[in-house]
Amino acid sequence: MSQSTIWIILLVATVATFLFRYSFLWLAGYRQMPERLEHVLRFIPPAVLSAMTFPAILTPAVETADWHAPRLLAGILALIVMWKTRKSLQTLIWGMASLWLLRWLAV
Amino acid sequence: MKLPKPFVSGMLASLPLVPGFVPFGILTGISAIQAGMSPLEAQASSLLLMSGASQIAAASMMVDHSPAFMVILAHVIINLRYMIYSAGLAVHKLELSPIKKALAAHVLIDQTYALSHIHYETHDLSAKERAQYYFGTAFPLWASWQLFTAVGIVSGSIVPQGWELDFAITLCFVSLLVPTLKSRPMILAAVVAGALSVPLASFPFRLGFFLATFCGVAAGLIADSWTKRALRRSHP
Repeated sequence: MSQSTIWIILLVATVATFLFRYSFLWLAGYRQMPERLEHVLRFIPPAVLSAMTFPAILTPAVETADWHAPRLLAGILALIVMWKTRKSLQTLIWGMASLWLLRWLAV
Repeated sequence: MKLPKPFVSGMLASLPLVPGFVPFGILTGISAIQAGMSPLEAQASSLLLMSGASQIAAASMMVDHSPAFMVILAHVIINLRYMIYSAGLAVHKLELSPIKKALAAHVLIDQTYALSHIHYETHDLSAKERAQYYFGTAFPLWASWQLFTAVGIVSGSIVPQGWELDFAITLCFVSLLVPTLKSRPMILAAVVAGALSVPLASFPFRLGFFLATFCGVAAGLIADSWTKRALRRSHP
């Protein structure tokens, strides 16, 4: 990707992101967020974050038809740790440690 | 110079969140460098956007040579949620000059909104103090985000491939994903989007990613309207 393309992406994304954050602060007092819109927006984070996460965890296992693929097992462990503890640092440590351990055992 | 008291208590409230920013910021810097950004562009991303999830998503798309339009679309979809926080913060009517309002918008992230909202609900502050508290929560998070992105940028080129740090990025997404699963329809939205994203990953231009997200949101909304209708029927 060329440097000018990167800057264009950066600037357009910056303007869009700023407008989302500024939107209702600017409208404050004049207009509230429509309930329907808020309802729809609330469903985007779980869907989009999941679509970011699953392929990285599942694709190696699907491609090799190996349900013991290290990334799958480490990913499941990380999901459990985050679900139970709600601590991102612990999730990261357990996930990476188990991945490295599984790789080392497989050698 | 003496800092206003609400500003200091805002800072103290957000300081415990800084350790969580360390790996996330570093990985954001590393992923930007590995996506082919120059150090300047990588740091500018953190300064201009300050949106970890979309910055990392954009970097991983650039690695896969997705078209620019798709990278922008990813930023937009992931950052749309800031409108909810914008509306949520507006309700509290902070005392802000036009410039401060723009600055407040710029540092509006999940953490600053959540901390301020909880604090306003439980403390009686003036409009001016509310604004001071808000900026107090933002400052340590803003500063640590810039600092740890920079650390990632510097270390981005020296981390060995064998460490599989791209998986650490996945784990960051896991830790962002889990707290969003607040109801069964939301879990369904995540499961549908996640399950579809795997077979659709081979679609060109990352279209599968957007299609999976769209289907997940639709499934969640449909399930949510069904459960509400069922509840109305059982409690007329």
